[in-house]
Amino acid sequence: MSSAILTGKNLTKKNGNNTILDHLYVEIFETDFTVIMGTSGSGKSTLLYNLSGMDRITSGEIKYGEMDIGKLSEKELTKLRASDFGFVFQQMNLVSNLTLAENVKMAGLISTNLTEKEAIQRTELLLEQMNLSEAKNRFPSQSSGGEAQRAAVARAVIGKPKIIFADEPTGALNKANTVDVLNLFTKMNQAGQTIMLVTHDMEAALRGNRLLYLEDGKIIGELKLSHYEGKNKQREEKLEKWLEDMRW
Amino acid sequence: MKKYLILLRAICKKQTGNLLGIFFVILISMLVLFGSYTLLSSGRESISSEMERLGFGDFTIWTSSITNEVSAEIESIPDVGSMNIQSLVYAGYEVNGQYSDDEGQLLTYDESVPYRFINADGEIIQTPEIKSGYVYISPAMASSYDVEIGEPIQFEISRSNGIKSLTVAGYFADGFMGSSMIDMKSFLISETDMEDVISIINNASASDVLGKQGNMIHIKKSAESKLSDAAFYSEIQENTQIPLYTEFTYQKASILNYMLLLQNILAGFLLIFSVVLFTFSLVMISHNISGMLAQQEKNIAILKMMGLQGDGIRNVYLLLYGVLALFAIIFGMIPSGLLASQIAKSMVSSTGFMIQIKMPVLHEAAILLFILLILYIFLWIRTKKVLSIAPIQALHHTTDQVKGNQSKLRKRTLVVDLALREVLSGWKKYISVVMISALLVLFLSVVGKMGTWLGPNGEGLMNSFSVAEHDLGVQPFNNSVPMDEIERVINWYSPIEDTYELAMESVTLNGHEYTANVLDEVEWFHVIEGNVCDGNSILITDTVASEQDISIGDSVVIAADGRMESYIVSGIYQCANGMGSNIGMSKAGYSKIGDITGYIWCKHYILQDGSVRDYAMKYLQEHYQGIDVHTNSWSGLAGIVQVMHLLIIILYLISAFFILVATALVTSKLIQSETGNMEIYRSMGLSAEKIRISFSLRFVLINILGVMIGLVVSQFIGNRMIGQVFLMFGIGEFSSTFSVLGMIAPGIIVPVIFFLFAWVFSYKISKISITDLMGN
Repeated sequence: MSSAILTGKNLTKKNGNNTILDHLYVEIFETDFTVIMGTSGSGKSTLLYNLSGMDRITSGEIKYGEMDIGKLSEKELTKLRASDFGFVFQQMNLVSNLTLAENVKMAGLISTNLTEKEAIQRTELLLEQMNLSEAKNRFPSQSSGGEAQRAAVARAVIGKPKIIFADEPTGALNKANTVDVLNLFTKMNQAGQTIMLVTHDMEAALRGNRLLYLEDGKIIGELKLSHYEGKNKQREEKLEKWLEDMRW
Repeated sequence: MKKYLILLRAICKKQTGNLLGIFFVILISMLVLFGSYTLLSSGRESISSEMERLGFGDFTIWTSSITNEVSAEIESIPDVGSMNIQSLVYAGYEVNGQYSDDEGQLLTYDESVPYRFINADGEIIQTPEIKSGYVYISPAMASSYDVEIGEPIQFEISRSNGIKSLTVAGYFADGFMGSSMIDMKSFLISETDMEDVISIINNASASDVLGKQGNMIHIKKSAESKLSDAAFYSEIQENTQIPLYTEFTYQKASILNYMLLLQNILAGFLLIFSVVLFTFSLVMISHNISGMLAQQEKNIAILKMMGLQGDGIRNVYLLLYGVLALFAIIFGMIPSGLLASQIAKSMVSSTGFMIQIKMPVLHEAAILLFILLILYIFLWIRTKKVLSIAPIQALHHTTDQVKGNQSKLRKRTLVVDLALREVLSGWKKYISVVMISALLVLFLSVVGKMGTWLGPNGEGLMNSFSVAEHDLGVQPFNNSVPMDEIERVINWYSPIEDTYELAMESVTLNGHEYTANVLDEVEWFHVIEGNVCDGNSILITDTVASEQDISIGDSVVIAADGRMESYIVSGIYQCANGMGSNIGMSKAGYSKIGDITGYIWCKHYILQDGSVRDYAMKYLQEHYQGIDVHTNSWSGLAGIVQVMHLLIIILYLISAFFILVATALVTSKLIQSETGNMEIYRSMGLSAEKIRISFSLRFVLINILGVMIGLVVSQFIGNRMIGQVFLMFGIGEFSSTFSVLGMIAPGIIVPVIFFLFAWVFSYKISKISITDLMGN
């Protein structure tokens, strides 16, 4: 078993009187494909954004290496996002006046892990891998949802981040595009990329090797699976059973 | 009706900041407009009525002491309405080591002439008793001669022991010749001192005496008189012995023009600037309306679906902006008198007179109506789009497809590249900024040109007002003066670029005395209309044209030394010597009536480096006898330069305020529409600081275009624009070359101010929370 790359201890997130995360303990392990599931309002997206430093926890500690993410300044968090973290959102969130290729390249240029030359080379490579060579010069408004989301994945991964945080990345896609995007995640994970993904889609959940189930701001269940290597009936049944136990 | 009010309230609530910005922009432009107009109109009325109050007529003739017989002759002319004679003494004077160019006139203060005494701020103070040994002066002398209360002025009454030293006790408002534009100055002294001065004159021998007794005769036309000013003056000249006593004569209009020259130039430029600012306000309103309509398109469509009329919705917008503009105009008008008063106050040391500010209510009401009409037409056109929004079309409306230019993105210059990308892909959003920047740069560059032309010591104005441009003038009075050696000395200081010769001789034109400026190279005259003169023609000033009622093409008789000749008026030229009472002649032309072989010629030098002229003059004065050396300067210039600097500061301050409002309006709209993209950049790891720099840099990039437009337009029409304003106020000569102040300064300052304000207003970027991306 690999070591924990990110640890959240006693995490509490409150929004007014509403407790979204409730003294939660969580570990994210290196090279794992961790999937967070739960009902609507259970706090799964909040957990993802708090662990990644996109949002601030009310109390608790988030350890990333020697760093306590909850205590980092905005400047330090920005640096972290430019070097170690990559994000994929449900709504793609591409910069509207940059082409798909430029959206990817821009993240490469911002990343502290790449030189300009590397950023350009990796952009070309990733666009090819994501099957975006034809669409690369289109602006987001001229692209299909699948193309845009594939570009968003490429953008998240270009800077060679330690962890990719993905929040419902297939939520706005049709079935064919969903499979394409999930295949990309699987491929990246197989290459050793740590992924933390929030979803309520069974298809997406199946790609993970570790699943956490949230309810009322607490982790109430955990399921470990083998790494995804294609359709596997046994894995599917195991997941279904677990979700049933979780009353999903 | 109520539904429209609800809509109006909703718009006001959402647009409070923008509407306030527009309100202040209109308010300031109206404040400047009405302030400068009030100053222009009050100046003329104030000085004119003050001259009337003090008893000055349509003409004032300065004479040597006249007899009762002459005054009776004048009074007997039927067209003469009234006449008022003041006794005076002409005397040269010295203040702080500086000698006057013209003689001053010492007047006994008595209560029959109700002078107003003022403090340095131009405020009227109680009439003091003038004690022996003290003198009251025009406040303009403070700037011309750097003289303060308590300092002495030495009047030269006779060569041997005839210096009368009087201490400055305070100031009086001299509506007649108080301005620093007029070198001739009045001094109010006590009766005892006047008796003393007259006694020195009476006891001095003819070769010793310097001061001279004389009179000022103020003559007013009768109300019934149908004569023109020129004909009236001719009648007095022809029917009395006054020409035998006349030193010089000025029409009220000429004096008024010179008294008002400075404040008119200042107010004229402020007036034009207010028009620029008003255009600016229209640009901002247009920007705001188009932005608001784009934002509200969907809502308007819904309102239409609910049954609201397009016209009704449009009227809501018209009402909103109309009322806003009306209040802004009124609130701009109210303190405009105060602004005019403050400007008048700050110019007292140059104008020598505190203008009594009186708002020209009727004129201003007419201007107000005209502005409202322009605004209504403008708003009516700009809100037309409301009518064309179709409900169904708008409900299906999706945000415009964003397309962009694919300019390069590089790691090292990412912040700049990103700014460039934003500008290129969304250039329409920045049109208003480009227009504003172009307008401001144009105007500031024009003002800079004016400053450059004026020069640090007022050389431009001096050149325009003197007979012909020069740095140094040397007039030898005998044949032992080594002119070759003198030229070598001048050359040490700076290479001589050009030379010509000038003589200033007394002549009569159609029987009236004038100074003839005679040049050996006539192309040096500042001809503003018609052609330069030759052996058979002369040039006249506007003043002479109006006094003698003559124009280009007319034939005139010029006489001197007992010889006379007819000449044609070939053109109008600019020369303010003797307040414009002079004519221009060629050497060949003058040789027909005068002797050109005497020591009448003053050699004028144009130096490569004009800044050394004072040093050269000092050296020549100290080392050579029998010469008169002068530079192209006069004491009143300091005041004018001071006023120009004031003008430039005012314009830059107002420009900065307008840039502030423009950036506030544009940045808030841009940040609002780009929040999404900014959140994404931040989620990628681009710091808020870099996004802010990039955002502010856009304004610099946009300004490059605005600056270029402004400077190019200024280069093409700037000189003409200033020339026209100057011409309106009697200065016919203007030319300006490339200068840092005129070109580089506005081109740098305007974008820098835009950048700084954009940086300040973009603080909102640091507050953008990237957690909003989750909600999307």
